[in-house]
Amino acid sequence: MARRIQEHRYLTLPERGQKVSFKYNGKTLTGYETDTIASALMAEEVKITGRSFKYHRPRGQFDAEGHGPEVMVTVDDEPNLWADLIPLHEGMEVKSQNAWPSPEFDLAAVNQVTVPMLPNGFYYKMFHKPKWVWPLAEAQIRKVAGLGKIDIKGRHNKRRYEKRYRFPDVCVIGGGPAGLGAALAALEEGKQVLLIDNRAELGGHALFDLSPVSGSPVSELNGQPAYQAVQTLIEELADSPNLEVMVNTTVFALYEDNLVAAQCGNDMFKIRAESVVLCPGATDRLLVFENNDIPGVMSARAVERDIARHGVLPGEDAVVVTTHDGGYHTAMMLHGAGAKVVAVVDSRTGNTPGHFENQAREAGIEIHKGHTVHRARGGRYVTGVDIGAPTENDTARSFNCDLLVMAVGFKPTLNLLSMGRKTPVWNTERQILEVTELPEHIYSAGEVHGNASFGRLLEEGSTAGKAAAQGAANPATTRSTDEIIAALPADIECGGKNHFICKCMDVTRNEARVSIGEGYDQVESLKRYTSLGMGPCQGKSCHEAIARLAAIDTGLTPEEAMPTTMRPPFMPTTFGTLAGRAPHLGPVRRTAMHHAHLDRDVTFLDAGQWKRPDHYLSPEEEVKHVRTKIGMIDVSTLGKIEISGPDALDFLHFLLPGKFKQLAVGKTRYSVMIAEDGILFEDGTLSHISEGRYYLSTTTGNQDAIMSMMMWWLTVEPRDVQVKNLSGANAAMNVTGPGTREFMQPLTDVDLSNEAFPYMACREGLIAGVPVVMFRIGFTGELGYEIHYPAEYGESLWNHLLEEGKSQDVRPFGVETQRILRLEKGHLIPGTDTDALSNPYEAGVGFTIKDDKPDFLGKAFLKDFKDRGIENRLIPYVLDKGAVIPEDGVAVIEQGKAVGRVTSSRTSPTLGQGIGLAWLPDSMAKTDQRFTIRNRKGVDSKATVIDHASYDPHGERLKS
Amino acid sequence: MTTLLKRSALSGVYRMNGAKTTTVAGWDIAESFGDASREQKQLAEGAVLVDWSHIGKLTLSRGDAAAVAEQAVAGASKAEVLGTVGSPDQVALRLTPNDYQLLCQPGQEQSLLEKLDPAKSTVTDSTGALACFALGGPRRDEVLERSTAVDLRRDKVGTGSVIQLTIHTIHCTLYRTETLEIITHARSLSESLYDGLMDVGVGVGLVPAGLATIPVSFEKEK
Repeated sequence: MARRIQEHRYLTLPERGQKVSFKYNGKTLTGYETDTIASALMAEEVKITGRSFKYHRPRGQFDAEGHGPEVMVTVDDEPNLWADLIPLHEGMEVKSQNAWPSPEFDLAAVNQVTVPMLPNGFYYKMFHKPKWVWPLAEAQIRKVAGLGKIDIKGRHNKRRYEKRYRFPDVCVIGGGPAGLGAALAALEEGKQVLLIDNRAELGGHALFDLSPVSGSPVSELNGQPAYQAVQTLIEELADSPNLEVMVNTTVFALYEDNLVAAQCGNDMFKIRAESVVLCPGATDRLLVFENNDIPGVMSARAVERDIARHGVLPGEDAVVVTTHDGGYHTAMMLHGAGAKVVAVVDSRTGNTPGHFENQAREAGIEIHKGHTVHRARGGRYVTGVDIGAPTENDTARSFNCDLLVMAVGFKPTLNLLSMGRKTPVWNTERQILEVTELPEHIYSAGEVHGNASFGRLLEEGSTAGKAAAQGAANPATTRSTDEIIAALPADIECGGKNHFICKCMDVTRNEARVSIGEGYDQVESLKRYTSLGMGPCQGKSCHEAIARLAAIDTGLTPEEAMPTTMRPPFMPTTFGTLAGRAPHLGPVRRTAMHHAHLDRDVTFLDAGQWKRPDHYLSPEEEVKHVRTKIGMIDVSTLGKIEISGPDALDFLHFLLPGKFKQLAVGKTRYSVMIAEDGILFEDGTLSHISEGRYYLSTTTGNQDAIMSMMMWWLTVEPRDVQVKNLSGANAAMNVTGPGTREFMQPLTDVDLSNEAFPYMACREGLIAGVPVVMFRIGFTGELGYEIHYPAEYGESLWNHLLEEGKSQDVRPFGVETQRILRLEKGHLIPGTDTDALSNPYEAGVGFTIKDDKPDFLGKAFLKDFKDRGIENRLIPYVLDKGAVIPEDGVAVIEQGKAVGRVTSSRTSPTLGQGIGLAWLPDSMAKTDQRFTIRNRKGVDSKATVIDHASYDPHGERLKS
Repeated sequence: MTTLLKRSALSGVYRMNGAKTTTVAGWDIAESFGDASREQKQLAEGAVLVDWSHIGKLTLSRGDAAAVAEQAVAGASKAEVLGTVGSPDQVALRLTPNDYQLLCQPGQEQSLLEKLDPAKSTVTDSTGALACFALGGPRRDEVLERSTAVDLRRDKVGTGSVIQLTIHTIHCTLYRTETLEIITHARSLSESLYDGLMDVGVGVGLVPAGLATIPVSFEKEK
């Protein structure tokens, strides 16, 4: 029976803090603010905290390290959290997992009878024929074998997930004696230190270590009990200005270049340290024996932690199984808490009794040498234990008990040292797995190198911390022979079928043997076939046992025992933590008029990062409005580059395929841009604004690439040119429609008459006092002025024009409308109507190429294209009246084969029929040629090639 | 004749938060977000974010940018790369050996431009192209450590330093003064950056504030 204790004979219990109430499976329980969920449940006598993955065997707290699956719970709707790590807080709602209706009485426990009847790896072998069976079987298997369930409507979905950064000189992971020593040493070297521990308090296992300290480099600690000495160290660190301590923080990965990934609550810390000192410590070794998984079997350190830190005694009648003096320490902790220690079962014979063994003898505790556990007895909980010689089948003694404590040596927590890079190897002399090499600037110290006294751990940490601060080589580790703990056989083979190697995935020794017999005789293939080590603990509990037993069963030596690869994450991490928060991921670009668009109930289009107005009314209505009245479109996203300086014209002649010497001040010309491979990738206009000052407008998507290209060429072939990217500095809008001149003239000092400001001209002037450059160009096919002006006036001038244009029904229109308008005019959009194989001749813009120039970008390849001749052409077409409008990108079909493709396809509100652009073989690209377009649903539409724009073919409207 | 106001990229944010605005050098800019005393309190105890988009911003690149910068700010040509030189009214940020950003009090950009020889370097008035925030308050570092992967420890990026970095995936230039982080960035991304900073700043009490809380000053002479 577990209970709270008020005092302890050998140590002072810490303050418990405030009482808190919490709910467990709907029932209100109480604990203290210093409790973990697991310790509070233990105190409330909740022995069965979960059910096992496959067999639904009862499970209870085992190691208090956050390694065991038995204490995984759902907390406040967030599943799969470790109850033995999470501090209790008021109002917490805790639910057990993988059990129905409750862990105490779980109907799926019938699996203990049914599953053993299934063959090993049954999910690979059964339910696959007929095919429809598997989905049904899979659903049932998932239902009864699993972890917690994500509640997509749960509270955790509303939690904040932050990403945070730290840049210490030295990052120390682990706050036990070695970690504290490392931090102190690094601080003494004047370094900024970040000390991380996954518990609520620093100190590690030393917090409940009664051993007197000796051999400490801090002499005043010698003679103090370790649990007091560690507090002295913590107090010494407390006021260090160069130290940051992060508790309740789990380091889940260590990547190259000393990137440490840690989780604290819902915050993920990315830590870049110059040096990292790993002091993750060790945990009690998992011993495999009959019924090693049932509630009441606990690791020694879990028992000590429950007593010393939480004031909870896990059982009244305890048997301690040990291989070292630490087991006697645990026995004394139990004894001091008022438990009856039925026996200490020590596998050793002839050893010199240690400090605590002598104490245990003096306390009258029964000691059985040369024995170990053969089996735990009991169904739902431990009720007794049989013991005998480790390598014999015969049971020597049996005891009744409600707590079986396992103190059979320590298993270094090697995951962060390994992290997929270095595989641990078994050191026969030291009887542990170890990682012998670490990358540069990674150091390790403490129990991760094996058992040692407090003084030695502190000294080792101090040496590593100093080396880390100085960037020196990783110091060698030393352990005296009396600190080595001999390992028992990994499995005590005394009969029975419930020898669990992997408690996460419910894999027994017998299953592993059968799988090896089936041919999965390498540890990695065995892992994949049986799922050994693939559960939530990711092998932290079992990788040593797996390696040692797989070696035995495959006839390898212990040195050849190879654990499975330890990869990040060290501890399970939620996707929320990894992903962070939405605003971190996708910044949105807004034009200067963005909020003016919002005021008009706009529908936006995502154009890369930009939010562009797609339409306000329906695009069809907006087209009609532009064709008959006046529309305004925000084109601020266009690229705007000013080129000036003595070599500006020369540079433009090199950059663009046209000739511009004759481009007079005040004139604008359409131009394409050709890549070095002769491919058409861009079009826009070039304007000569004032003497020697040119203004190139580009498409939205290509502006950065063009600017980079210009700067690259100016670097490799320097010219006296100044290039200014005004794309962000200037807002832009196009005011277009037959009434535009009458509307605009009163608002500007520029003479807008056709004679003074003709088509393809540009003028500088003022509108409402705002300096503007106006370009008379006609992408929409109507009279129009593209107005570029300082972005800070973007919203004011836009609103001003709309206000002034109310009486003339001036309305904004969007990008989709513009696309229809330009399609009616047959204008192409590079990247939409062209691709990475389109040359300008075939795209119908060969008129912009002046290849009699000495040199320009892409000239060599353009010559090849010209010599090759036209193979395909981009042509405008009209659909037959009433034909189905095909989607963009569908095929042109000829005799059942795809011979071309549609690049843009819309209904023309002006013509009342479908129009578009398509690539056709040259042989078909003849005026009045009929062809067939097949849409995605397989419906064919008949189209006719036209030789001109479908709207205003001679450009009379835009030139008017 | 109608006089149109210059507007910050945060004009929508102003409206949503009921900001009280004032006109400075033709800009409609936030003076406060409703409770100036609360903003002052946060400046003293937490963190505040102030829109300084109206300050003058010139960029100098290529050619002999150092010599041209010297024409505007004495000592600019001798400033170390990622260092700054200036006064409370104007400051030269040296971004590379041949790239500068000049910041000045609102409305002074034109007079600054007139001092510069455009033939010697590419000089661009980026006042409208770039937005600017001033991040102040004792907990401003906590906002930044949730916003950028760059090491901004004060012994690495000291007072008077300038650094180009990514904050919430947005390219920014950060100029660190004794009491402020002055962050210039593309105007088009300003609202996104504001959203990102405010989002992570909730936990440290970051609030938007106006010029009444932090008037424009580049602090160099202090």
